Amino acid sequence: CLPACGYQLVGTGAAQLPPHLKTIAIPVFDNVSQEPTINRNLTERVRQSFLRDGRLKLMADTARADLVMTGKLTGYSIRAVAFDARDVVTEYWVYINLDVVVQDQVLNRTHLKQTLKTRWDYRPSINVVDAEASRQAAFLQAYRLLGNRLVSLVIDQF
Amino acid sequence: QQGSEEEPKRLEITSDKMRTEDNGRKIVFTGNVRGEWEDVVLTSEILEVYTQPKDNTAPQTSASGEDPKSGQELEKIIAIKNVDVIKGTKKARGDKAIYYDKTQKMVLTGTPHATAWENENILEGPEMIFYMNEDRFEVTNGVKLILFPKNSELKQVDKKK
Amino acid sequence: QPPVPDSTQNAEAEKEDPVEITADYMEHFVKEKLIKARGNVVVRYQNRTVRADKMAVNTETGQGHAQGNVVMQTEDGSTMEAVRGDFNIKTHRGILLRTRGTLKGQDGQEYYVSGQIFRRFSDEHYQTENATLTTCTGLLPAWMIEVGKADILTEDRALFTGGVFRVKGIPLIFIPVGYVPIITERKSGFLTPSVGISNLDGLTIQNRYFWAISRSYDATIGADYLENRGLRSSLEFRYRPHETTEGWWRGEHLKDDISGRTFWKLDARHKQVLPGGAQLQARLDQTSSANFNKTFKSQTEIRTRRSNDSFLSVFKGWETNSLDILGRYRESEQADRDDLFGILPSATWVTQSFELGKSNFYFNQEMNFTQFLLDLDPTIGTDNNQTIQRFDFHPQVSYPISFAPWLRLTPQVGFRETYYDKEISDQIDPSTGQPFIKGEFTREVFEFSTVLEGPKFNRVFQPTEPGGAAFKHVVEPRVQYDYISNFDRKDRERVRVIDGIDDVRPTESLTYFLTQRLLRKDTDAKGNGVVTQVARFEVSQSYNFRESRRFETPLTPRRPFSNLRFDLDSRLTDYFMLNFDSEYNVYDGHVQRFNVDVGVKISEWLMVVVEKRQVHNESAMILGTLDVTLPKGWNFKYSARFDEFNDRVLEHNGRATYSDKCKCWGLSLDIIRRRNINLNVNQAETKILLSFELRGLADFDGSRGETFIHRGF
Repeated sequence: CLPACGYQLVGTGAAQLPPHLKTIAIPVFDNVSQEPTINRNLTERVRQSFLRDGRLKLMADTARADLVMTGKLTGYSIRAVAFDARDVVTEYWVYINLDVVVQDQVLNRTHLKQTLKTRWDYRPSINVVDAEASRQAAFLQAYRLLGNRLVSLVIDQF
Repeated sequence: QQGSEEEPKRLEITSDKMRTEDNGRKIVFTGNVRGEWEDVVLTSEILEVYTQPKDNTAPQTSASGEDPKSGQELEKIIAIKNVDVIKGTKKARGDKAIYYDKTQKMVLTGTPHATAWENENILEGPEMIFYMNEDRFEVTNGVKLILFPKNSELKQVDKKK
Repeated sequence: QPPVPDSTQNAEAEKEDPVEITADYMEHFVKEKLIKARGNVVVRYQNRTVRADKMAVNTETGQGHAQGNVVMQTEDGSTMEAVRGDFNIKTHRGILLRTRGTLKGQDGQEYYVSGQIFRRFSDEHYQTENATLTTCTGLLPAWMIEVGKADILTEDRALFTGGVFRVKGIPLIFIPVGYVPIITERKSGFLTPSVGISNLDGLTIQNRYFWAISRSYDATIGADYLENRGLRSSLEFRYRPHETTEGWWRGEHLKDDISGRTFWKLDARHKQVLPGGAQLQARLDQTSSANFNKTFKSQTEIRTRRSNDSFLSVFKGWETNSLDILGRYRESEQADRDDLFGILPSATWVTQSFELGKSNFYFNQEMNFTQFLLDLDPTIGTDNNQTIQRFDFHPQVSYPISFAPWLRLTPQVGFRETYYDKEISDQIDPSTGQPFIKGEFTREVFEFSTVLEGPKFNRVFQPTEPGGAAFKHVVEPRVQYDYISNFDRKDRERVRVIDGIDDVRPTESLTYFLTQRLLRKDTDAKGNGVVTQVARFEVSQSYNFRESRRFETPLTPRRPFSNLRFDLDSRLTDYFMLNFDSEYNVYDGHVQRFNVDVGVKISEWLMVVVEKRQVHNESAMILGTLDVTLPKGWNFKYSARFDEFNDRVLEHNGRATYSDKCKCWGLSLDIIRRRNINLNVNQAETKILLSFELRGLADFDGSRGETFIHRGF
């Protein structure tokens, strides 16, 4: 029923992106949050999201790209939401705030400027060593959500 | 010479034309008028000099306006249109200036205002009264003074802002 | 020609700013260089004005005298009225007699001052005599400080003698000598004592003394009286010597009269931009073995945490690469364990995905060296510290293939080589009771994954009424196949799993994600379209091929399908938030876990946030906040943590706040009731904290800035 219900395949019909926008560069995001080094893996995951989507070609050279996405990780916080019998935390929400500006270098205007907030939960284990693996797994999920969301916000403009 | 009677000050006026009226009691100079006496220079389009019979009873106040031969003395001078007055580094400009010799007072008026300035300090007001012998002047009916305080400590106090 | 009489003529930088004087009448005594003005006299200098009925100014010395309805106004809008005043145009010094006025603080706060004498020495230095200060309006201000003499350095401090603190005119507190820090940028203010009472600590009075060391450094020294426990001292030192360097240190210490133990806590933060643009970030987070946080802190995240976390990191990023060095150290804060985890240090070089020439091959890699420090024996008092050195190299190559704009396949191959300098065996040495330590080994992993994105489709829903928002519904199906080789199994099983690099298991799975987004398009003031995501709903599940081929037994049936995960984030309006995620066990037919988070602003004055989390047969937690705002500045919050699984309330938090925007003071009362399970004691704790705010002058916050468990959205 897709066409009949007014749905259309992306990239067909009224193209979402203006024709002059074909490439995007994503330099390593800045990080002013309380958590060190999380910007490098987040940047890579956002690049992978655009690579997998394909409607914009990923470029390394910022100067020659049609769009340049600069990001600044401004917030990292955790919120305790579940506790054991001794009132010790068993589940956290980890929140990540990202300020993103996508600049259209062809028409020299701002294509997108927003603050995105995402979260994922993780369960810190009793052992201080094992907590790190589950914490990093939560980061990867949060990065996945942010990456896919950025692709949609940049490309599915309407 | 020391001690001799003070030489009367010369009032020198040049202009394109000149005429007299009222039996010579009123002399009218027109066109590029320039008047000089002492260290004051006055220029205007029109200059009217009024004299009056000498008042023998009054003490000799005016050193400049006395005419020994005819018993006449300077009463007042009226400058009209584009009046400029220069006294040393002080300058003034207005539409009309009246100089009263007896009181040594000059009244400069202008619309919307007359202007007086020295270096960069500027004074504006519709009516300015200069007391020539008292080195004092007053401005009435609204005045604006823009002052650049010399070698002021403002340089130290405010420039650090 | 006369110079242009324009008071703003000050074109060249070094030219003097003119002083402009206007009046109805003016007399100028040239010899005495004296100007006398009468009638609506106004002196303007830069953006400051002095008005008076009469004024005399000496143009040589700049000295001036003003008489009658004297009003002095500065560029920030502060105005001072006086009966008489002397001033100097050149030096800006001045004195006003019988003054009354309004001073504007940097954040727009208005201070109402009056004084017999008000001396101004410079922009930053004032003195007053018989003066009053308040931020309250009205003839009889709610509070006011009277001082005999005060010496004020703005952006620094005010010293005063003969101080009286009046409430509605009634003298309450006499302060013979007082010191008020005035550094508006860093929000200091007179740190009045804060009061509280707790069934464990007794009466608590927290005193803070603020010391403005200089423009770049300040400190707060604290001496807190705890009736049942003794004196808790604290020192906080803050610094910002440079635009790119800032930080703070805070230490607290108490010798506890109840338990006889010594509690201490040391925190620090430091941020700095190093030459070359590298960013240094450090955090120190150390506490005494006696759990300082659980005993004294109210913030839930700090009280209930499992470990502290100190780190030092240097990060340098380029366009496509980054290099960082991280040192991290965590110690357990749980009562019955003392295990620790150190990264001492790790160095990571990451190359982000980039195209190799024009080949459509995209390369990325991560190279990491880490030295871990682990305490293998978590029992209190006995340690078995071991270090593990690991080097890992993980390159990947992707080759995306587009079948259509809406359908794209992205295969990716990766290889991982990891070297470990030792093995921490699972077998326990019976003689020591500790794991055997064996020699170095390497682990090789081959991985392949491919992601099929699409067919993506969408539909735009135009606004129903002019100026309304347009919506776009986007549907994004994704299928991801992941394969991690099973070879080098022997080495792989020797790995002690610590982080994501170690946690690599043989995998062969297919995962599908069906993501739907609702984008909303509004038009901003300038007519530009602003697109935001207001909802995302994702269904995902994976199928484990290895599990489907595993040897099956009646007790361990094959279960290749993972839980079915539903995940919704939605913020359709500012008044309603609904987040929900859950996992459904397709074999046992029950919901394995779910979280629901609902926030509703029923009206401008009523808001409710409820979060429920449940893990099947394991835990069920409800956290909720009720927030009621009444007219005239009253606000009530009630929050609770309820352990539904064990059917008991963990914590109640109540807060009543009076903070009328028009008023000059505010009050808040916090009541906390919780179970305090600490030092092998399980006791009910009740804490009451009083916070009081003299707006603009002093705000002391009993909660010390902790938000407890109240939530907003």
